[in-house]
Amino acid sequence: MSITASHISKTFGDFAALDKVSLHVPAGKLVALLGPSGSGKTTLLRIIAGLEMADEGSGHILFGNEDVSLLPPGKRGVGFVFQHYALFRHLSVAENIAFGLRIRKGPERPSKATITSRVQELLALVQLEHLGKRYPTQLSGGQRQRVALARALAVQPKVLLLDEPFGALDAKVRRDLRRWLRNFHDGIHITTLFVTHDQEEALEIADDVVILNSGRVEQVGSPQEVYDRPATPFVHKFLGNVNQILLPWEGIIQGTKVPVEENVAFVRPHDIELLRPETAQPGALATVLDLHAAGPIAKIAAKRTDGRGIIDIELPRAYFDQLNLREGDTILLRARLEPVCQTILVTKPPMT
Amino acid sequence: MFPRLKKHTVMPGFGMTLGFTLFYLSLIVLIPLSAVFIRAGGLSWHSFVDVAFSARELAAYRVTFLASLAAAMVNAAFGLVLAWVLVRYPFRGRRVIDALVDLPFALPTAVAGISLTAIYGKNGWIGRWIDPEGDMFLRFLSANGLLGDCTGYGFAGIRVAYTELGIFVAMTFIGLPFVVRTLQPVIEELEPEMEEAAATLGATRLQTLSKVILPELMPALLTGFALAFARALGEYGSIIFIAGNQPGKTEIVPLRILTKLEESNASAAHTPYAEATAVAAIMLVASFILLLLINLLQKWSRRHHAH
Amino acid sequence: MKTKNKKSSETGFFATLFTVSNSGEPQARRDPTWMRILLSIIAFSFLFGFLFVPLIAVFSEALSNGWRVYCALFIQEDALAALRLSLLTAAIAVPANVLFGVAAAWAITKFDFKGKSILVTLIDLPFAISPVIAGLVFVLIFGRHGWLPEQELGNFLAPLAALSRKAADAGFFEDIFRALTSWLDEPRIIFGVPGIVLATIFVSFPFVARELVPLMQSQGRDEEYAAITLGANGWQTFWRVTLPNIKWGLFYGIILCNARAMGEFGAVSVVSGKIRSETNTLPLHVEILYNEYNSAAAFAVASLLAMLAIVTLGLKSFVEWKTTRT
Repeated sequence: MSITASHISKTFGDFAALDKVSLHVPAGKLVALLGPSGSGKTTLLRIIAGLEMADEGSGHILFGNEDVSLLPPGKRGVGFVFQHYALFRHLSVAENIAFGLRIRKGPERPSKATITSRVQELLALVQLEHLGKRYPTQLSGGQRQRVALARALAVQPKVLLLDEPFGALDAKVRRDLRRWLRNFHDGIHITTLFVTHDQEEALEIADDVVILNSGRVEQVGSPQEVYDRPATPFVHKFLGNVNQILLPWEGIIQGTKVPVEENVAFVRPHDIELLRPETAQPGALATVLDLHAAGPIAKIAAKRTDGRGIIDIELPRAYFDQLNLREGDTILLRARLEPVCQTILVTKPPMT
Repeated sequence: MFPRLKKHTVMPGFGMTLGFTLFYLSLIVLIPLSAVFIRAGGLSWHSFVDVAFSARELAAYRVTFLASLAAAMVNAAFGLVLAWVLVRYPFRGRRVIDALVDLPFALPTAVAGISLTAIYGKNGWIGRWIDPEGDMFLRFLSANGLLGDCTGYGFAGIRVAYTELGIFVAMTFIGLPFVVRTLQPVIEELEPEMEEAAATLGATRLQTLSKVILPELMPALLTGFALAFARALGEYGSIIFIAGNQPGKTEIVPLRILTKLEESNASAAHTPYAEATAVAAIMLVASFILLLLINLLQKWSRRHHAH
Repeated sequence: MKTKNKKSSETGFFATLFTVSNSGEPQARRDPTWMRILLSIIAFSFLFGFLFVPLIAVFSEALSNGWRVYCALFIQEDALAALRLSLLTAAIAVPANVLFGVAAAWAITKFDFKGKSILVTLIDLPFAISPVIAGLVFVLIFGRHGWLPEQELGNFLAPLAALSRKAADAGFFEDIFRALTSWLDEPRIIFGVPGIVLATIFVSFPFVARELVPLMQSQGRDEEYAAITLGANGWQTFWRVTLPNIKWGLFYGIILCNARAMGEFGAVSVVSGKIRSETNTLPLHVEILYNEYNSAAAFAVASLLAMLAIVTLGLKSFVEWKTTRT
């Protein structure tokens, strides 16, 4: 079931956490809500869940075609996973998962046997079959996260909402668990919206990414789209490393397609071409400041000879080795002509 | 004047719980307390001063205040040592000793009162050794006793029960847990690096304790001191047995309030209860000032430790 | 409450005093041995003289005339009546303050509203006030010259008395309604049980709330929100999620509240007429016996209260042990 949020605003005192935000999550997709801290992403998620209310008269939340704006969270059919899990610490794993079913009243409550088998199913689904009797404090962070997920799924929600699902985990577990979540989603196809501040995470597992900044949506698109064709300077800066090159710069040759805002050009380090000056091709001269060649990518920092800044370059290791560079060498730089970078002339005023 | 929520919330029960809280608080605490000020306000300024600052009242304020101050100071000093030993010197049976610190909270004040009186009376376990009329004192420590026979000198003896000193002893007893309990968590959370840094910079242990640790504990120590002082000011049960209650000498303020109340219950005065409420109003104002001070101290303490 | 350096707490007392190294604490944080000995002696003498001796003295004085006399004191009608009244008072005051404490803690920790810090300060107010004033305020309201003296209260309650009489006449819970009717006809608050209960509620007012507020603050609101998204209503959220999480804190608050309620002397002393076997609680009974120069009897009753204090301290450490052990 799809999620549609239209024109959602939320103010805390004078501060506008969300400013007429609209968003659509197609049915069955896994969508990331990505933004820096304070961008309003968690607030938006909590409004969709019904844990917070949008400003009065500011918009609607639809699940499918049903307007759920006025429904309490328990009636919306959402599965919500909290950043710090919020597992009930006095209940065992199995009891946590069963909670949503046990509190139902009258004919809506499944029989004990049904609940038990449903809990077993969910434990198997999140691969924790043998831990049903444990208590939350006896589990690792990754296990707790999966219990929280199973608990949210037990009530058969229409949509799944995850608040920084990997935020409290360490790097290794984080990587494993997000791959696991992607596979898991491919298995059950429930419409899922998750909040994250980690670009890598969003780009790696989401079908679509919604980028939020200062309470506004900056861009919506597939991971490839948002990375390769950032709609705004913010997105450009937020996703991956980027050189902010003060213009004019001879490295940008007539016809080169790079995004430019005011007199700053945005070029990713791997989109800078590095040549020996003796090749006598068009480009700008620079001096090598620093070389790092550990791993498959070599990183070079070079100082513009006109003294207007430093440019980062990334090269494949093999090519770097071929060049045989030393600190202090003079090199020729230019923005790549390849179609990786589309021309985006940004008309928006700069962010303050 | 019902407080408004800052924002809408799905958490249930705001109106019910806050409504009940305010209703109960008003009924049990606020309205009854306001009675003191309203009744005291019924007096003219002149008669208020006459009643609240008569010679006998002034003596009561004086002895209550001074004994409370002395007791709080003794508690601050010994409480600091006790808290330090309890946290830093681990030993078997620490849990029992730790629990015993709360005895003055748990033991009814009347029980403490009669027990202290018995101990410090001239036949009591301690009294017989120090009271000028105690049998052990006369036999061993007085000028006529063993000490006098051997050296020619003797102690004068100290009377505790039924004197100002008795008030001080009872106040020390009931105020003891405050300093310990305020300091304990702060000592536990002292950063070990601070002491280690001081040691690497060449400070001796005594310097570390006096120049690094003590200043760090100061806000909590002052808070504990103020709490013990406030408790001692208002204390009644444990004191009246040991104080002797001699007019103008060992009468404490709460006793004055009670006595005045009983007098006005017996007589049909023109302004009933006025005398008792006048003294009570003075005490309440003192309590409020202390409460404010304690709140400020705690705020300071929190900021001090927030870094 | 637990910190790293406490893990070594099972070493012997003298062993830790005298071993210079090889203790849980790093060298830089250890006090010199002479200081450890000196401070320990000061601390334990102070504790011994001021706490241990008074506690032991209660029992010693109580038993000064032998076991037989001691035991005989407990079957005296007056003492039993005082015990009954103390229990009754606690049985009313403690649940009332629990209800209040839970409601106040819920309002304070689960919501944000203006004036919250003032509310928290006001709840602590009874701790800052002399127990004698706590008793005085109720005399000012219900006393003979008070705002709502008992005769007026009687007129005010007359319709209720009539109703209660009808219920009793109809044979509906006859005993209870007879008793209620006779109280409503001539309501007595000061110098009566209601006054004692009111004064006790006042002095034991903050215990539960001030125990629960910091606890619930530290536990946050996420578990409640999680229950709500899973479809739980308010009561289900409270009973199934919040209450199990705060049960030890609540128990702790109840123990302290009960100790104060059973042991209060000053406030109760003001409002009670100290009428034997009618408005006499255990602490008041101690005073009466003591003032009659019946010291052994006074200490016997006092020993009962001291045992209550010991049980309170025991339960309190048990809860502390239970909650720090995770």
